[in-house]
Amino acid sequence: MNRVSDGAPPRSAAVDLPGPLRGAFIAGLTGAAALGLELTAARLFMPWFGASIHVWSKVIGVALAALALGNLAGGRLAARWPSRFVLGGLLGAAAATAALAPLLTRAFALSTVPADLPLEAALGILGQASLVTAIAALGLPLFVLGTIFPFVVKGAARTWSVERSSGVLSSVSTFGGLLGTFAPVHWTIPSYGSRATCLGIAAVLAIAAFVAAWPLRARHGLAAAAVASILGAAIASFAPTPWKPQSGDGTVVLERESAYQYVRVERARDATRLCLNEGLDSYHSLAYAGDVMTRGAYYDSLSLMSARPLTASPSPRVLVLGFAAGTVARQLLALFGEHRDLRIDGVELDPVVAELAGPYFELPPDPRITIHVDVDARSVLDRTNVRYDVIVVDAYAQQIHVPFQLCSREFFASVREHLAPGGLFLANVSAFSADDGALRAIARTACAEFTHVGALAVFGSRNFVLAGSMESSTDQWLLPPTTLPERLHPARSAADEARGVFAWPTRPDDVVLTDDRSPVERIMEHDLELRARALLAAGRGAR
Amino acid sequence: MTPIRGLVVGGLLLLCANAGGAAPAQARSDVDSLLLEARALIRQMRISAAEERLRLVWTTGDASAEQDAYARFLLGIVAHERRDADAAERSYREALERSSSTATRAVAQSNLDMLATERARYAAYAPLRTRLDVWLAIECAVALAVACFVVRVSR
Repeated sequence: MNRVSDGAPPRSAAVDLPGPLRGAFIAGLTGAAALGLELTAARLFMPWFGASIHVWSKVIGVALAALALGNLAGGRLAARWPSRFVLGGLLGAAAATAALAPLLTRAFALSTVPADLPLEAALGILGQASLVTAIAALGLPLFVLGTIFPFVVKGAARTWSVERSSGVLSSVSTFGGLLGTFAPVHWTIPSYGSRATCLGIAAVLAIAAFVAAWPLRARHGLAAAAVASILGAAIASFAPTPWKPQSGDGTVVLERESAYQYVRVERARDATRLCLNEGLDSYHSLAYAGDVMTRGAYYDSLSLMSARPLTASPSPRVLVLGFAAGTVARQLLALFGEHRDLRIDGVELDPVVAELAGPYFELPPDPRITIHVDVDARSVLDRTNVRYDVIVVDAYAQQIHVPFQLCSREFFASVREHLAPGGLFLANVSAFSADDGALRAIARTACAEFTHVGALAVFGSRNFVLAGSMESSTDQWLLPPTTLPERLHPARSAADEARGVFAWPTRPDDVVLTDDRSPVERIMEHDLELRARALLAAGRGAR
Repeated sequence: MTPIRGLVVGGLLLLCANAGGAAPAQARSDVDSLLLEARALIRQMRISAAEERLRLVWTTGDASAEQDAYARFLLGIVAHERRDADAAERSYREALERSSSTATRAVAQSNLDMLATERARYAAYAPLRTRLDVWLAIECAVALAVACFVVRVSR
């Protein structure tokens, strides 16, 4: 005789699941936990993989896949074992794996992205490394969280209709997701950090587990609470310092999570460096103990190029977009502020970064400096009426990108309008050579707004100082050594080694970037990806 | 804000600068000026423009053996900057074999050594991709195993 299936479960079990109200409470908490975990994971990844759209896509992709598979599995499990103890056990497992997510992230990141890996080579592997880490750290907790929903729907459907149960519980879960979206971003991560946030999410899920399994015998409840507390305490107490180990001979003197990014200060001998997110071998501020110069780094070149407009005026004004911890300001004040009424306005998005200027980068509060924080550089420029003798752009996103709103034609037009007569626009642009697509595109865009555009290759680095002016031509931008402060002589010699500033040759095939269309990130990533692959391929040919 | 501190460029440019004295005194002036121009462009990090000048050295067909060798050395730097390690090595070796100038031979050898050092350094990172592929395969296998387990136990 043939077996005939009508699609119903072959075996039915007695349903012992929470009713609609408790189910809604559990659905709300799991919705909040899922979104909270997803957002917190993106922050956990920042120190290792950065915050690029590629990393976000890995986190979101893995989360969606895990939740979808969890929903499938949950449906089968709820049909087979519709028990509050199974539901409580699943929530407990979700809590444990959520608590472990930071440690798993760290372990996988250390294994896949060595701390001494140069940024130039890292770009070829960061994408896949973030995917592997996302699966390991996020896959399990989100898979388990995905199994919960069918249980609570089944429990509620004993009292309500299936339609009402699924509708109400979906809605509550989504509202919980709203809480999970906003609370970590605006409260827990800035206040307590991403690891503590993960532990908080784990605690919320543990509470949900107790609610799901209730009523419990007293001794069972106590035992479960004891196990949860011991596990939580053990995980919380494992916090290696520094969280991200230092490569080379330096030491990490500060690690902080700001509202925007992972911030870290490193010291190696007499040098202090500010690193953000994955950082690797790049830095965003630099100070040598007792010396305002940076021994050939691009800051010296920026000061060298600033010399002409700043010495031409008795009361020069400078705007620094991308103030960071004030290396440019510190240098300009020391070099040109002694005999002039020099005023510097700085814009730094991240207030935590700007606060580091005094304690770590030898730039104490100075009445000549005004810093605007928590605001985008572009909006400050567009709203000010001040005209500046020098406008410096030293702003970066994801280590390598000049933010698109700071290299569009409209931005350069705004810079031009805010330059005083004889003023100079200066930008630090990362590029491996003048052939790099992003540098070419940015320079070509500057050419559309400035009469004269030139570049100086910073000798021995991967930086170009791009400059634009309406009046003076490129051969006038570098002052002769006799009229320069003595501390700038090495920078002048380095510029001579690099054959000085060259007028930017415009090419018809270079794109002009606009606010509407600015593929600068894609261009730069394409160039860097090719270089990273070439570097790793070169390693394979080692003998 | 972010300087990406290169491994080679400073050294290469310094070596390139030192090699200035290696330009042959008896060379014909047009080839000489092409070589000097290419060297200046390399120092400005205008790599494509430098390569164009170097190609012209061979197009003219007037280069002496020494000029040819020096042009190959500069072409090695161009390839090196582009991270084309094989092409760079080939050009440096050609310069080494063809040049009779001590200075050119010295800098070509020095750059070859630098290239070998870089290759050794990146050799340590080369297995990273393989390791990532292995991890991904393991994770996919675990996910599949979990899915099979869930289906089986809940049947």
